[in-house]
Amino acid sequence: MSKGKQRQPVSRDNNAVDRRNFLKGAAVGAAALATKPPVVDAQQSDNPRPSALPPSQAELTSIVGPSTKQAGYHFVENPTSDFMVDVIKSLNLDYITTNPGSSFDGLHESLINYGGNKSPELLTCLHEESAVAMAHGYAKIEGKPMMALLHGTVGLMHGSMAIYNAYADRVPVYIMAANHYDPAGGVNAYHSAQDLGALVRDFVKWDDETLSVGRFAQSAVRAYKIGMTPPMGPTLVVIDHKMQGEPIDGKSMPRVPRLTMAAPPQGDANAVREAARMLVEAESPLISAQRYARTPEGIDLLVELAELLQTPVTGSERVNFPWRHPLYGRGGFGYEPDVILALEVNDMYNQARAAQRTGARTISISSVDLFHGSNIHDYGRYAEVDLSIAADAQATLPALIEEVRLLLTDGRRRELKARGEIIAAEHALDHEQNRIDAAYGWNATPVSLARLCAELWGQVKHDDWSLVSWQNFISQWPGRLWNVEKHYHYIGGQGAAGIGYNAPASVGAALANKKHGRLSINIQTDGDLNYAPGVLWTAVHHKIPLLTVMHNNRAYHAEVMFVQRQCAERKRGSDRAHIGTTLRDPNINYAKMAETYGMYGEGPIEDPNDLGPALQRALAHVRAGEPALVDVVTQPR
Amino acid sequence: MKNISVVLPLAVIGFFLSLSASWAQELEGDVESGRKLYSAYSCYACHGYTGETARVRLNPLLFTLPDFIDYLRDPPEMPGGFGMGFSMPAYAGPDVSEQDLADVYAYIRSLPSTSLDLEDIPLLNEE
Repeated sequence: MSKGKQRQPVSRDNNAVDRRNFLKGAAVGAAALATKPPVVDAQQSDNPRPSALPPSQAELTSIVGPSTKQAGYHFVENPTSDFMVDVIKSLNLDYITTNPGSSFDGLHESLINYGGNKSPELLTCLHEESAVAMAHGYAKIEGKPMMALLHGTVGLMHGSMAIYNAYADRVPVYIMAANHYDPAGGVNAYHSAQDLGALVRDFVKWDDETLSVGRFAQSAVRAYKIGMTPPMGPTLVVIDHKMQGEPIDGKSMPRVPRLTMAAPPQGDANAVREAARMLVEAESPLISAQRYARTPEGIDLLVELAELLQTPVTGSERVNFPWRHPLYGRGGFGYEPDVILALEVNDMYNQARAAQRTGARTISISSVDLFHGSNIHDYGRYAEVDLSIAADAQATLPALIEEVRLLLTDGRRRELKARGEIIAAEHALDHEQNRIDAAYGWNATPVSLARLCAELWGQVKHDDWSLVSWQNFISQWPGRLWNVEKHYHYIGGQGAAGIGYNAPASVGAALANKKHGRLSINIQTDGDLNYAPGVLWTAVHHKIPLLTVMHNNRAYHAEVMFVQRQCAERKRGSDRAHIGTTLRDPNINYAKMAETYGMYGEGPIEDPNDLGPALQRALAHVRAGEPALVDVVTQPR
Repeated sequence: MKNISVVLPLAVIGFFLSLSASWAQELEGDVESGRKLYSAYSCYACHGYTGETARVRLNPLLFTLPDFIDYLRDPPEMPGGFGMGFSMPAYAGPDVSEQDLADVYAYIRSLPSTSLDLEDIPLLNEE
């Protein structure tokens, strides 16, 4: 490409805007602006004048730097950041979440002008933790990463907690962080690091510094591939501020590398055959699935295996198995497993220890055995399992199913069928018990969580719905009352139990659901929302339909119970556990908070009979394409 | 329908009830004091504000007062998943008197039920 000509962005479709002429016009316009600022003598700048008048030269200099007269304005054609956009576009990323920062202003400009702010489109976030957590939630619905663009060092630090959650949750988040390698220039010194990735290296799967454009191209593509290869996780590409603004010509510009995804690793054939033998011979096997299903196909495979073996399937971290399936659960009261098959269970210690006590044997199929960090102990204590298969569980299941089929005789199938009928009967009892339990405290004030979830289910069950929030702080009531069967019906929680995840992750997940026309529901804990409530504005600004129903128990409630237990164990201060754990005096009005950010808000709802109509009104807004919030004052749990 | 989640803990509790003392039967609980203590002791945290909205329900309260006090002074461990047991916090310190516990007892006993029968709730009878 010859110098002086603007390149066109690489596009994945034929609808790409031809930006050549637009950019020419823009360049002329920018040049005109750059040369036209009215120059006012310095001495006149102190004179009072109406604010509508142009700023003085001194004021301009303080805001935007030296004028053209002082330094000679520097124009850039074909900046390197345009090529960086080409690379980013090749990764099929739909969105970039960001909070603006000077270290990536060049890339920012290229994304919105050269790239046309399309595929990917920038989403304005009010905190980097929200930016990363939105990408976390998005990936769990869409099955591919969103990019979070962070301002180093400060932005990366702000985002670090959310990166850790994604790491622990084995979710790919594609992070780009920019660095002022040259610490000159006042504030930039604080945004400059020798090794920026070191700040989060303990909890990203891979990171790289890219000080040349060739290195950037390779690392940007590699980061995507590594992040998406099981065990998945966040990856980080660090870019230099200066490099973004340097012109690049045809001779120095590398080509955009081709992305080739790695096939996920399957289990060793002999080990899989042994696992099948153990399962078929077992009298009371149990399948325990945690972060197993990567795609909807994973659910189908597990249903096939469970029905072949007529074995119960437990685990509610994600939707690995339909929760109304007769085999879902732990097999019922008195079912003592003799073989446990664990699928992508991160920490097997407790299960393995319990199995040893009863003489049961354990099988683990997990890709986490292929990748461990060193500093973070998210994998738990060492677990003494009997058969450990280091592989992606979903990719291994077809082979395991085939081996089980080969071993099953007609006689064994008849025996297993009888076992399955007992398990199914126990499952039905559990379902009935959940409904009975939900009736307790039905008319209680504050509102019971069972009532909240039942009222909500009554209004959304005929929609194509998606619960985008964690259910463990709401006593698992959605799972106990709702028909959870599709992968997007429930996406689990934070990963590392880092609070502040839920609100932004639900917005990111809702964005992913939007293009599929799904109704996204977030049952939002109050403590979590207060970490970075600005994400409500992001949902409004980008027109992301999402119903947020507050589980407002006015506390960091789990901590109330923890502190209470400490008081009890130390035999003192049994009436002081609320200190430092509750969110009262004053009570926070979340409906007004929503309205402040431009969102429809209603509440606080304390009378359970007011809840149904309030949900109906809010849902009307959500079905029309907007976010809405209903503040419900709730029982503690 | 038997309520398994409640029956199991109560079976464990039953053993300890047989050890209970009888002196506490003479205590007279104060409902208003108990209302404040139910909140101050964070009883609501696990059992809900009406004693009905958690897995271990207090309303209606089936304990006698002596059994109630004994239980809170030294709660037994209940079975949990994968062999992991749990218990409620003990209220055994000198800052919690028998009279305090009698007040809490009186308050819980005074709570009206906000529960309904399952068949009276249409939302829970629709699939």
